[in-house]
Amino acid sequence: MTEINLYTVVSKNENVFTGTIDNEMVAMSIENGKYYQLNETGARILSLLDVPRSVEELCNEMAARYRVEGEAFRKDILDFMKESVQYGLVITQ
Amino acid sequence: MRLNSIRAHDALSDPSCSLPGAETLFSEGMHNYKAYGLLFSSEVPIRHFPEVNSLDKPDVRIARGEIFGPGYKPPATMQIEASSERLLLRGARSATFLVTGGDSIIIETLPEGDPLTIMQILLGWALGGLFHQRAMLPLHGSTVCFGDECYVFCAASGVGKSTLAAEFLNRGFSFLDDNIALAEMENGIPSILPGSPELRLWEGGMKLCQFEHRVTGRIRQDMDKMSLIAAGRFRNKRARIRKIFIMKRTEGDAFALETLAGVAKFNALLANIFFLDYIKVCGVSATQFSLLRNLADAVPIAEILLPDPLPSPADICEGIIRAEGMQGRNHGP
Repeated sequence: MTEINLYTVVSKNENVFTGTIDNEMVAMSIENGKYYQLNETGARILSLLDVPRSVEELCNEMAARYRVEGEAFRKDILDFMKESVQYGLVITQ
Repeated sequence: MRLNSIRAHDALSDPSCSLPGAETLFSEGMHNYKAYGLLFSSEVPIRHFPEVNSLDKPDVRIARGEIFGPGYKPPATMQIEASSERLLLRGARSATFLVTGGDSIIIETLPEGDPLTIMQILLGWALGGLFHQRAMLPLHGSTVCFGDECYVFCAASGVGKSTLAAEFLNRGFSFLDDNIALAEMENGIPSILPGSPELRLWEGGMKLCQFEHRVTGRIRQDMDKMSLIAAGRFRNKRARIRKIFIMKRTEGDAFALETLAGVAKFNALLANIFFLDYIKVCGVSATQFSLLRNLADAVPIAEILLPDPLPSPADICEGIIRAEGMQGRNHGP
């Protein structure tokens, strides 16, 4: 499995469709046909990854938007990225 | 091109009983039909499809042709091989069907292939595969009209959507199709396209039909399911979707309607796509995903939870009519 850290550049997998329904986001992988439900935060992260950026840059963007910071917050984002890469929603550069 | 195999459901495996005369399926000339928003030019007369006189280029051509040719040994049971551009249905005792490019269905009948089974596969999987190749969105459901709007009743086979549709027809409602609800978004308006005036009912349920109809016979030699043509109640015009219902049998003791929200609506639609196995192998196209999402966002979706024992079709129909406030409105074709 690809090692992901704060310096890894990540982006949304182009083979993933996303859309919102009643303010909930659904993301579907063309490759495996699986789909995932994302909450508002997950949806925001995925939309930020239309443009490739490092996990650290992503953390900074999210920190500014939600006015949170700290190690626990960064770890949450990092964990979400690892999960998203595993599910094929996000790819590493 | 690599083809992926799909295991066929037993329910549509070919019957052991076959009648001679598969060749009688074909006519010498071509027939033009308009159904599901498409112009069909077919060597196979599809008697219940609305026939049209058209010089336009057909969207779909259905013809006999050679796929494997002489010496071909059919599989012991129905086999399906699929890719996004090509669907091969290899019947055991009926025919081989090749569906390509969303515009062509070639049929090579087997010696003594059962014509009824061939028609069932043609109007089921072959047509379903063709819709997917065209990135259309066929839902497995019957569509009943209410004025210029319609209700779609989706369910797995055997849950009772055709019987329910027949009950609505008894009450003067019209319908767009009994098996495939072909959904579209036109200028942001979700609608269902007219399909065929055929209903398929179990022989035991026929006595419930009080609307004008014509019985054309069994849909397969080994099934007690009958084909009825209810031309007088068929609406040959698209209708805006008012609501989609997902019918489910439960072990509960009361009939209930539960409104779905958010991604649960998307899930429900996805699970009720017609010929879902094709999607499982070939995936959802960008167009289909967009349609699914738009439909889920624009249309109310509710589950109909059917108790055990099952209420009568009249009671289910009455419950829906009451819940939706359909009384006293014009709902004919």
